[in-house]
Order: sequence, then structure tokens, then C-alpha cells
Amino acid sequence: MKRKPITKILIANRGEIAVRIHRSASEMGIRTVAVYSDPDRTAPHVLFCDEAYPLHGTTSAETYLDIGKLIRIAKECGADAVHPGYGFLSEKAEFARAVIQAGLTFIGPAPETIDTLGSKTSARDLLAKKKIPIVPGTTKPINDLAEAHKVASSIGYPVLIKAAGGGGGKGMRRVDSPEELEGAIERARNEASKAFSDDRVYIEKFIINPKHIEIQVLADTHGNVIHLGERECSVQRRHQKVVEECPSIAVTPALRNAMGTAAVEIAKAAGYVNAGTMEFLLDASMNFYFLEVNTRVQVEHPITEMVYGIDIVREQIRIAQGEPLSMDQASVVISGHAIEARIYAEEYDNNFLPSTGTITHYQPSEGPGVRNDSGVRTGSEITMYYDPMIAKLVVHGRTREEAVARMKRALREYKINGVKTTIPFCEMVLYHPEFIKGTYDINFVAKHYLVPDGTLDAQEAAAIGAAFAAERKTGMKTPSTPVPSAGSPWKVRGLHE
Amino acid sequence: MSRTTLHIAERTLSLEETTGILYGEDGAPVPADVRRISAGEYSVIIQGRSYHIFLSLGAMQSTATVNNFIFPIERETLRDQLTQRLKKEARTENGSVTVRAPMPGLITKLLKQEGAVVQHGEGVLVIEAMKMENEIKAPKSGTIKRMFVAERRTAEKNDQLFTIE
Repeated sequence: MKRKPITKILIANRGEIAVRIHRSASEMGIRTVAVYSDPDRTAPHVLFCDEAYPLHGTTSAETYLDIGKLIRIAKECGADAVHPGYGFLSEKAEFARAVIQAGLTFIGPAPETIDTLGSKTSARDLLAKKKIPIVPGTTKPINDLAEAHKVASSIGYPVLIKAAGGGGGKGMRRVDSPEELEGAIERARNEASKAFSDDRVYIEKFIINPKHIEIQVLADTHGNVIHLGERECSVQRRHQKVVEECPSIAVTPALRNAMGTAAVEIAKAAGYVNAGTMEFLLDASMNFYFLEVNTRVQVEHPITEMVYGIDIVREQIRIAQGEPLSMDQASVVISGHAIEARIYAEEYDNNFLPSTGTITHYQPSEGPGVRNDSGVRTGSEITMYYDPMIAKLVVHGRTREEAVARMKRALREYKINGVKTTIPFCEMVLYHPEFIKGTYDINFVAKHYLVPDGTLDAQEAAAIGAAFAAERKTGMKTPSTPVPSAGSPWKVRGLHE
Repeated sequence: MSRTTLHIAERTLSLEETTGILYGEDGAPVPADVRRISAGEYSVIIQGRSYHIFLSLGAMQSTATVNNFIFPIERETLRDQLTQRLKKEARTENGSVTVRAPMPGLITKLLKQEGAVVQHGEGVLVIEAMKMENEIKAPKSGTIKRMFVAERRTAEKNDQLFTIE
């Protein structure tokens, strides 16, 4: 395949992933283009990128999901490639196709591959034929309720209703009995059609207490396919990952090799090119079942980057330019342990309901082995329009023990004021004996009903009271002459000079 | 005499507003070194222990954030205590409960209409926020006396949704 150097990338996304893509591109000497909705005019991705163009609108549908607008901007600004990030249009074959038709490079797999693998049902169909173990259930979307009842009772309750066209827990419902089936399907269809504009759903057997293990794969246009080991993402609430680690404590070198080989086989069977993730469920007897392929960069990709010392976004861009992978399987070396904590603007003490408002203070953790990928700053407005994830805190240590201790420290150091966040929840996870042992599965959060206990001791309460008294005193000062603005010495000196 | 009671989460302190002296739960004045860092941001040191505190003072509610935990602060004068007691008595006489929106969002579906009889725990309406659908359930059995919202309408946090009697 001929090389097609990329000089300017339009990043069709927002938030932390838009910033993340900018960073790798910028390091490669590639210009970056941000796009933004009205509320995102001053968001970090707009501030960081070399160029920025408005999408004019507020909702996702009229901005980050509008293929026509994105393509028009990409062509007008002279971009030669588009990176879709994750979410939004990243797994829409239609978008990849539109990018290619406009004569631009799509940084991701071919549209045909997205079609086959992005639809979970056709992916299941393909792999069933290749004898790769899949979770029992339908390999086609269900047509009607009668069929759903038939399938569900034949594989046995509990079952999972899942969206054929998406992930992230949206359009997913567990069903324990036939009576719940109709309502669950309706709700799943509604969610799926809103999140992915695709209301097709299918049914899978609900595997009891599995671990969620996924394999990172890289494939170039020269036929090289490698895997970068696993990530364990079993700490989930509402089917969304919150804390992930690499490597998994449950995965032995032999199992890693077996799962990695299966993932590479899946990639080869699908003719996959670019970065992708094969998700599996691992049961208590160490049997693994293929779940789905994510045909894009994953939210939790940084933990793999830290352990393997490979910049996945950079590899994505290199692959899209037609370059070969910068390493082969034999040169992939695992080093230490990494953990990611996703920080969501959510009520940690109230069922993770969205917490909206203005971030009045934002001070991420720093120091050895800490990486913070964030899409917010002090003054950012958290609205109900977009995903509530505001940052990813990632740590690396030589051992798992060191990484756990580092994450505890880093979570405690992180300061966000103005919205509630999942930081207290992540702390609870890190201190939980089952997490420390590594024996947790995907029901960990539900099973332990981890609600952070914000009990105050007498001295903490006294400290708050003291600050409160001081703040009231400051507020009560309403002098007849206006208080001079807290001028910096620079300004004052300037006036007198 | 002019002491104000401060309820901070489940702790109770008192504040002499004229002097600014704070009394701890044990009744003794709190020896705190308080420094204002920026608007609402404080460093407080008490007996060598260091606290980084963020305050947001509002007309309706004030909160403090410490280590990303958020604690409500209620300032209560003697008069507040009396009116509170009266309000509480009024509420228990009338056996109705009004459910408010736990988050801002879009009402996507009314599962029950005004006048419907509902059982405790039954879904009444669906509110969508940040692409997730959340079913709002009846906190008790009874009749939906009033539905304040309609489908396709947005609700702000704490907006009245429905009343069950």
C-alpha cells in the first residue's frame, strides 16, 4: 500500500480524547483541528488545537454527530485526515465512508470492517463460524417480542438485552424473568436509538460473575497484527467501566498468550486494520468468551500505553499513513502495572446520577508515575448534553501494590470543586479487600453496594465550621467605599511608571 | 447569647457571629488557623492537622467540599428552629409526598397518568439525562394526585414531578 503522509488532522470529538489525540499528532509534527459545539467554545480541546471551527449547535445530534458539518469543515480547512476518537461517530461506518469519499484519510478501520464488527450481531456471526467461543445467544438482531421470548427461554434466564450498534452500557438491560422482557426491550431500544441512532437489539446469555478482560490489538496495512496484552475492566457500574488495570491479576502468561492469539485471529478474520479492542468475558474456570470488538481507540487505552511503553494514538496515525507497525510481537515487553480511575461528574452518594454545574476549582494530581487525561479546566460547565466523564487519572508502578498505593495517593490529591465526582467512589474501590486481592468480577460494585461513607470526625467538622465563619465574615463586609480590586504588584507598578 | 447553630453533615457546632468565635462539639472554642486561598477556598490548620476546604455559600444551601466529599452546611438561628418545627408538623398532617427531579433531564415517558393508583416502587415516569434513561419510582403506594410534568418537557434538578397521596 502506498504511503499517504498526514499533515493536518481534524479531530471529530470533544473532551479528554480530543486533547489526547491532539497531543500525539502534535508530537508527530501534524497540525490539529478542533471542532466545537456552542457550549464547548472555550473547552480545553479548543484551546490546545492549532485550529478550531464551530459546529453551531448544542446537542450532540446537531454538532459532533453531524457528518455533513464535519466533512465540510475538514475539506474547507485543508485537513487530510480525520480522527474520530471514541463515542460519537467513531463506530459509524457511514462516517468513515463519508471521510474516505471526501478524499481524506479515516484514522481507523475500513468502513466494511466497522460494519461487520461494529454490529455486534454480525461480529458474533463471523466468529461463531471461525470457532472462536462466543457468549450463547442470538447472532442476529431480534425482530419481535415473540421471538425474544422464545430465545430468552431457550438459553435460560437471566439474559441480557444489548444494542446491536453500540456499547458503553447504553441500550443494555438485564432481564431475570419473562414478565420484565417487554419493558426492558422497549427501554433498551429507546436508549440505543438515541445513543447510536440504531434501535436493533439482541439477546445474550447472562454469564454469572465473569471478569471483563479485553485485548488491545494493532494491525497495519502490511499484514502485521500484534496484541498488547489485556486490560481488566471488571469494576463497572451500570455496565460502564470505572476502574481498569493492566495487566489483570487473573491472567497468567499462558492465558494472555491464548487470549492474545484469539484476538489476533479475530482481527485477521475480519481483515482488521488500525487499533482495535477485542472484549471477552472470563468465567471462574478461566474459560473466555468473545463479547465484542471495539473498532476504535478505547477510553482506557492509557494503561496499556504505560505498561507497554507504546503510544497507541501515534500507532493509529502511523498505520493510517500506510506505515508498518513500529514493533513486532516479540519486541512487545510488559513492564510494571497501571491503573486508571475514570472521574465522572456524578453523585457518588446517589446512584451515580449526573451532577451538573460549573467546576469552580480544578487541580489534578501530579508527581511520579501519574498521568491525567482531562477535558476540563477551572470554569468548565458540566451540562447534561454530553457524557459525564471529565477526566481519567492513570498511575503506573513497578508492581501492582505500588500502583494501588500510588492511585490512593493520587485520588486523595485530586481536587475538584463545583460538581460531585466519582473520586470518593474510586477511593473506596482501591481500599476494598476484594479489589486488593484481585478476585473481583463485574458484579463487584453491585455486590458490595459501594456507597462512600462521608462521615466527618469532630475536628474535620470544626475545620469546615472555621472556614465557613471566615467566609461569612468576608461576605458580610459591605463597605461604603468599593474595595479596590485585588491588583497585582505588576499592575500597580505599571500605573506609577 | 447570640450564638448560631451550624449543622455540618451530622455534626453540630455553634458560632458567635459578632466575634467570629467557633465552638466545637465539646463546647470549647476551636483553635483554628484559617487562611483564604481564593474565593471559597481555604486552608485550615487545627492542632497541626491540615485541611483544604472549598465552600459554596448559597441562599438555599451551603456546602463544603473536603477530599471530594461534599457536606451540607446549615446555619440555624433560634427563629429558624421554631419555623422548622411548625413546618414539620404541617407536613405530617397532610399524607402526600411530592417527588422532585433528582437530576436535570428530559421527561421521555409518563408510565402513569394523573389519577392512577400506584404501588410502592412502581415506575411513574422516565427521565433521560446524559443519554441514560432513569425510571422514577413511586416512594409509597397511593394515588397520583398531581402530575407536574409532561412528556418531551425538560425538568431542572429539584423540580416537582408528581404528588402521591
